[in-house]
Amino acid sequence: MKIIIVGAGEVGVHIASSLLRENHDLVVIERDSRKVARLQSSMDILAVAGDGCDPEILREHGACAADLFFAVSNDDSANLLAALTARSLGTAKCVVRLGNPRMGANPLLDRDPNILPLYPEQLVAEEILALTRVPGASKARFFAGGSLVLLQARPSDDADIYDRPLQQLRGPEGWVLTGIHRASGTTIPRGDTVLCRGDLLYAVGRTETIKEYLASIGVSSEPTRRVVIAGAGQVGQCLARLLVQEKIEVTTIQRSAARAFEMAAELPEALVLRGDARDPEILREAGAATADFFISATQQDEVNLLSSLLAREMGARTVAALYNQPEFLDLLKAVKIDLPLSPRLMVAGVILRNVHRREIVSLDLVEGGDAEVVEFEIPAKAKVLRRKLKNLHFPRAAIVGAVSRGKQRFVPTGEFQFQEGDRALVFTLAEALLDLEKIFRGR
Amino acid sequence: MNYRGVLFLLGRLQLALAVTLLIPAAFDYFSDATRFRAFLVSAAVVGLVGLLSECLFRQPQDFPFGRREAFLLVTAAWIMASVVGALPYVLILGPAFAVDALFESASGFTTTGASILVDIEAQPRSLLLWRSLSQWLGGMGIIVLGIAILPKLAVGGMQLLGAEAPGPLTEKLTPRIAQTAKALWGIYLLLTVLETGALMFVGMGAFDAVNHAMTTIATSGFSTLQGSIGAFQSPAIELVVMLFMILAGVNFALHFKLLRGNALPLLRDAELRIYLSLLVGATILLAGNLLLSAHQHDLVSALRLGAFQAVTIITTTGFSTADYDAWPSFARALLFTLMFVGGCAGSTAGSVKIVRILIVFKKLAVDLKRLVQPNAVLPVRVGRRAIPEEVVTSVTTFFILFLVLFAAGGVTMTAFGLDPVSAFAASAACLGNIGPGFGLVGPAEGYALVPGPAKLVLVALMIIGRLELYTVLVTFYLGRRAY
Repeated sequence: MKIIIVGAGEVGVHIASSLLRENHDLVVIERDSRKVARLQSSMDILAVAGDGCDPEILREHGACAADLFFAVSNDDSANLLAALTARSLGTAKCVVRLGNPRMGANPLLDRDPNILPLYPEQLVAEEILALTRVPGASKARFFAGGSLVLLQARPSDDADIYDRPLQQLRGPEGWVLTGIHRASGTTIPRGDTVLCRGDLLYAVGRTETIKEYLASIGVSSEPTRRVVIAGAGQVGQCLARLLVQEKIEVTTIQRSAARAFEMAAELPEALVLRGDARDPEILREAGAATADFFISATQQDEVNLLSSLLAREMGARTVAALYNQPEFLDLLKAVKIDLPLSPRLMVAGVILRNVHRREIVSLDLVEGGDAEVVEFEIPAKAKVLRRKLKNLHFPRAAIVGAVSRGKQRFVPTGEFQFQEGDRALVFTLAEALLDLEKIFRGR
Repeated sequence: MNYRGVLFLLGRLQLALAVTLLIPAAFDYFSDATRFRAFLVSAAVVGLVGLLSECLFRQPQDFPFGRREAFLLVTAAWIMASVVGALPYVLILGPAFAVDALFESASGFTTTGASILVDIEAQPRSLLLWRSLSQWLGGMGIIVLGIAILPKLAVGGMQLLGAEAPGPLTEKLTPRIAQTAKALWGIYLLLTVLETGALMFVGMGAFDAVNHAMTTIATSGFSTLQGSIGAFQSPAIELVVMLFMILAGVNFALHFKLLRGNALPLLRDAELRIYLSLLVGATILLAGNLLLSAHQHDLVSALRLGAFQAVTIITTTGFSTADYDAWPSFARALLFTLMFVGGCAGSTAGSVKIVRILIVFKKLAVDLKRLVQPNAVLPVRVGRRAIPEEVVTSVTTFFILFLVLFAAGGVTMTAFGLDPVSAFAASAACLGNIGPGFGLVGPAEGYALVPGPAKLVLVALMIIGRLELYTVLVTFYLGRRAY
């Protein structure tokens, strides 16, 4: 496919590198010529210095025949204009990143179903909200209208699941262990696999039995009632809004007086404190010690590191920290922050998930990036329709986690048989992707 | 400071006033034909002065007109209107009544409704019409009227409007200031016409109906009868007057939006809710007190009296259907306290206004919460809307200033020999533009017995109160440079 990306911020770069793995032709247009030079030397793409709204530049780089167009700079208006221009020139499909949801209500967008507006900050906030709903898990994503969930969780060391092959373990009803991540990489579990302490587990199952699953791996999960957000930028503010709607008690800490007032004005239900997120006194006043969920969401990684560390020391139950510079991921892990989250990677994941020809559910979800969770819709005349799952020659590097059919949900066994229109949630290593494509597409 | 510009615009307003003086003149000419000369002479004098200042201080098309000029013009305009309005009284009642005439006129324009006339029915009907008319003009504001009809005044329009309009947050209803002023006067006129019709429907004579409609919608309270509304002895009339007093005490921006077909702000308005619940609460308390007291009241008459007095005091109208000065002390104390409430901001009611009281109380609650959580950011809210810090501060200052002026006025009145109750009641009633007070200045007595110099102090209080304190007080600072 021919793909154009406008904006080479971290979101744009992450999208580019993900798409590059699938052998697409990429053009990245960016105003900052230094970024362009850096990109050009590090990736096999065409990086262009220029304005993404400039029709001349767009035409010159093939917007007339492009299959996909991402407008993912930081500027809502520029993104909108770039996408509208590209569509008029003849691009097949455009994705627009918007920070302000009101911008998406632009009537120009209503006329054209091939321009897809996305509100990544909003979606990232929704993902964090999902995490607050499943305390104990380190990542969670809901499917099929929220009835199915994919969880990433680290079992406790004294759970009764080690030193025996999996086939001798009896997990809770309706759950499938779909992946194991350890230092050597990600693997798909088999009956003879033995779990080790320190493994990170991926499991798919029914939402209503999350608690049972987590209990089976020795993780307790009390519902979240109090959340503290230290330093709320766009993501933090969206999150606060969502939490308030869920009737969860929210306390936020803001450094700037003006932002603090603005936030307090918008959310009467939330308690807004003015102060530095690194100040133990403020954290104490915010009740970090008794918070069920603490997230440090300032713009500065250093501040996030410090304040999440303080909150963890004070006794917050689950501690999350946002980071932007990749180096901070290791730091945050080293000091055992429960949930290090990169908003930009999450944004990129959100965008990719929404446009991919397969539904890639979890590019950002699996550690290390060597595995994916993909949702397939079974078309008519697909190969899988005729045989039972056990007779399918299903690739060993992939596993079906769950299937949704209308209102029904299945966690399939070998006897399961697909029907047309089913949606299968598949956990797969990267190498098996092409095989899966053949099986499910019937090509 | 552009004094010439202020004088020029003042001249325009004088010309406008001269035209309005022709209304009672014409009425008199076609009815009694006895006093029309007094109005004609007044109109001629004002008109000439106006023309003269127009010519002497003629200004270029876009002369400089800023904040300072706006404040000075508004204050000067109200003093000028009070003086001009007094001319017909002096010409008809005689020069000995000069101070009384000024008091009556200022009481009219500021919509206070405090009167020195002892035998109202004996006065010429044209003079009564002028009395009501002056209140009607003052109710929506002579400056707002000026902006609506004189394009020149739109220059510093928003400042002018802010300096005159009641309430801490002035809202522009339309993009053009002149349109806003016209819209406000349109609603005002509409309400007046509706009430006139309603009053005539329930049996009031045309002359009385027009006069009472004008003084109700202005929440000012001059009546054509010595016994005020009570003299009609008609529950229907009381009901109509009550309804329109309540309407006049509602923010006109809400009326405007409702007429545009948007009822949502009306339902969401926190101030309106408190206003209505306050009216109901006060009615219940007053009626209850009347029922339990030694006075012989049945439930219906207690409710009827309680409701009317509650509405007339809270909306600062000052009509009466009973001599509440003779009521038990709880009812009197309650009415006295309610004098400090006033209607909604942006209405024609006077006094402090509900939204300000609301803000002061919310601020109190916020300060208490802050003792527990010193770093919490706690905006003062009216409904869901957060009020900016500066507005909260200025509202608090306003509240304190109002009480200081009330106390100072009351103490000054006692210096002129009034007993403390009458003195403080007079101060509150004039500062809050209500009219009748208690004791010597109660609903049955009027202000005739107040000594002359004391009347001048009350005139000052009325004008300060009508212009919401700051506008008048700030004029004393205009000459100085801000450091």
